[in-house]
Amino acid sequence: MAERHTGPSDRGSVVPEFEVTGLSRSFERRGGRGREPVHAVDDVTLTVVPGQRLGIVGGSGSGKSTLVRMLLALLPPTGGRIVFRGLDITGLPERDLGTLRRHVQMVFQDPRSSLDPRMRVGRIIGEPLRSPILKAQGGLPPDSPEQTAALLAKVGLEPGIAARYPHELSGGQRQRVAIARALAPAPSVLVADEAVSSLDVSVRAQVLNLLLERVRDDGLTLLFVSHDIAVVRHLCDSVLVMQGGRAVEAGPIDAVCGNPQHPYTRVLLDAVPTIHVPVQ
Amino acid sequence: MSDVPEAVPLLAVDGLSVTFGRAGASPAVRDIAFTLSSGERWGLIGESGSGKSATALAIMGLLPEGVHVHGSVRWRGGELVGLGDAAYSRLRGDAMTMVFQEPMTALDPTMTVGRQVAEVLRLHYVRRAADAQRYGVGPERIRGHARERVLGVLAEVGLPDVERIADSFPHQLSGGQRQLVLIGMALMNSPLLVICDEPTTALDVTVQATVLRLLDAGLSAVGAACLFISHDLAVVSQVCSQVMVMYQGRIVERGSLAQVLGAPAHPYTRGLVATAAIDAVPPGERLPVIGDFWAGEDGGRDG
Ligand SMILES: Nc1ncnc2c1ncn2[C@@H]1O[C@H](COP(=O)(O)OP(=O)(O)OP(=O)(O)O)[C@@H](O)[C@H]1O
Ligand SMILES: Nc1ncnc2c1ncn2[C@@H]1O[C@H](COP(=O)(O)OP(=O)(O)OP(=O)(O)O)[C@@H](O)[C@H]1O
Ligand SMILES: [Mg+2]
Ligand SMILES: [Mg+2]
Repeated sequence: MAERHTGPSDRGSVVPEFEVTGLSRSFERRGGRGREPVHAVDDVTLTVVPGQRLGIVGGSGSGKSTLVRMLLALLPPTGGRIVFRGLDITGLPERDLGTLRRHVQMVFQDPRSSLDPRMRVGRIIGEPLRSPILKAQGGLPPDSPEQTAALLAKVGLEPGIAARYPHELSGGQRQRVAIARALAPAPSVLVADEAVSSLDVSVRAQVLNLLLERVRDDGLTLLFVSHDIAVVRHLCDSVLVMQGGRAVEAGPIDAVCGNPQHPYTRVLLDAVPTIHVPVQ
Repeated sequence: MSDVPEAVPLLAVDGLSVTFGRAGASPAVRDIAFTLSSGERWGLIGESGSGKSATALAIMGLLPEGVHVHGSVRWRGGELVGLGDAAYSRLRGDAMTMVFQEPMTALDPTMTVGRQVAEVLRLHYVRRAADAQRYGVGPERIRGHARERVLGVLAEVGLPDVERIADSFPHQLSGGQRQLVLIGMALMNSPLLVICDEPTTALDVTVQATVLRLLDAGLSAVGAACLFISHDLAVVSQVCSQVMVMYQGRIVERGSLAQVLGAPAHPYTRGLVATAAIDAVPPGERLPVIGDFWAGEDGGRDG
């Protein structure tokens, strides 16, 4: 696939956060010797520059989560290359991933299985701040109850939540704990996989405002996986559209939404539901 | 359904309260009441943490040990609060089903998806063995066709590559694929009541449209009732004609969609409607939150 341009053009000279070339991941089928494997991600090339806010959209099973898990070196690719800040991290052992771990945080799609059930919320949020790998990199905010309470407040949660276990929270409260945890070490890049999908509109607005604040004040780079086009349009400056493991369209958000080139992008934009309220 | 007198609603919730077991904890659900009759579809919206899932789990009898449930939940006139587990599980997955907010917790991680779907089918037919003639076949015959039925259920919700999906363990599926499996399982036995808890959060808009059509058809076919929990007002408005609003454990407002969303009476609902239109705000600018409109009610708030 040809190199795709995903960010505004004046960013050509800076060192990208991520440079991904021909990235692929396939999974063998069960008992499937000789059968075609599942191409979850298929030859994806993209560049993410500092401060970019890239939305990743696409249908269920199109490879979005697989793609971002590879960027975080949580899943080895079966093909292609990932360069993080000039360093080829493809296949590097965990002990050599210090910079990546220090600067990139992720909010997982399923908070129930990504938050340690045996830890209270307060410990969960402080965990990245106590990690030896992160500490070795320096520049971490302090791990204090005040810092935890401040983070909880930013995502609209009472300080008392810190004493609870993840299973003692509502679904939306768990999502917000996952976001607070990811923001705790003040990352340069936040990768969010459907991170606001079950929040009511007001709480979601609060979380999006928080992310935009971090973008404005600290130049946070965002990789934001979402099925919600309205949210992506509000938050992101560029977008990557995935279908069947491939990046079928990419570019500045206004260009893609205003003049979609790929038929699937058009389908996605047309299917956005609106509120049907019968006239009284 | 036709064998139930008009006057007895399918589901009647009365004075329902749910308190999670911490000393001095305030109830998560406070003295709520509503009824659901066959064919009715009620949306349930409200703040994150307001008690929507707790309400659903209380109706389904799925709250863990040690959680205090007070009040009454009647199913076709019979009391469910305090009902034994055996009797409850005969209802669940058959006459009354639920699509859970977090699919990973509802699926067994050690079993392939196909086996889990087949298991729900099997339970259904074992229970219906007595009136097997109605289907014109015996239960053994149905079992023999389980694989076909399983693949059919998966294909119906719009899953591609159903052979592979059936042979996968839950962690081998994408978030949306897991949600689709749960929706298929909830609808396949023609339930009389379907409770959906944020059923489309992981689905892209095209798949979501398919699923909502399928839900509509499934509900209409048997005149089933539906309680539809969602933060997405657009989705609620496509499925439901009526809506209830929860705030801090209470139902603070209810009525037709036009009434509640068009002319909201409670300040929380007014705030919710005012903050819903994300595209009314220029990209990148601060989005309004309910706190801009209303300071809220204090007390009893713990999240
Ligand atoms: N096991 C538990 N122990 C203690 N508190 C709990 C437990 N489960 C839920 N809660 C609390 O009960 C309240 C209601 O939770 P519930 O899950 O019903 O909220 P919800 O309306 O479904 O929210 P969301 O939209 O975020 O899913 C929340 O404040 C939550 O923190
Ligand atoms: N561990 C695995 N083993 C086998 N197949 C997998 C595995 N993980 C993902 N897949 C398959 O790869 C494809 C891409 O999955 P992925 O989770 O990346 O999709 P997604 O775009 O995040 O979808 P969603 O929006 O539904 O979350 C899917 O078809 C999925 O079934
Ligand atoms: Mg995903
Ligand atoms: Mg909930």
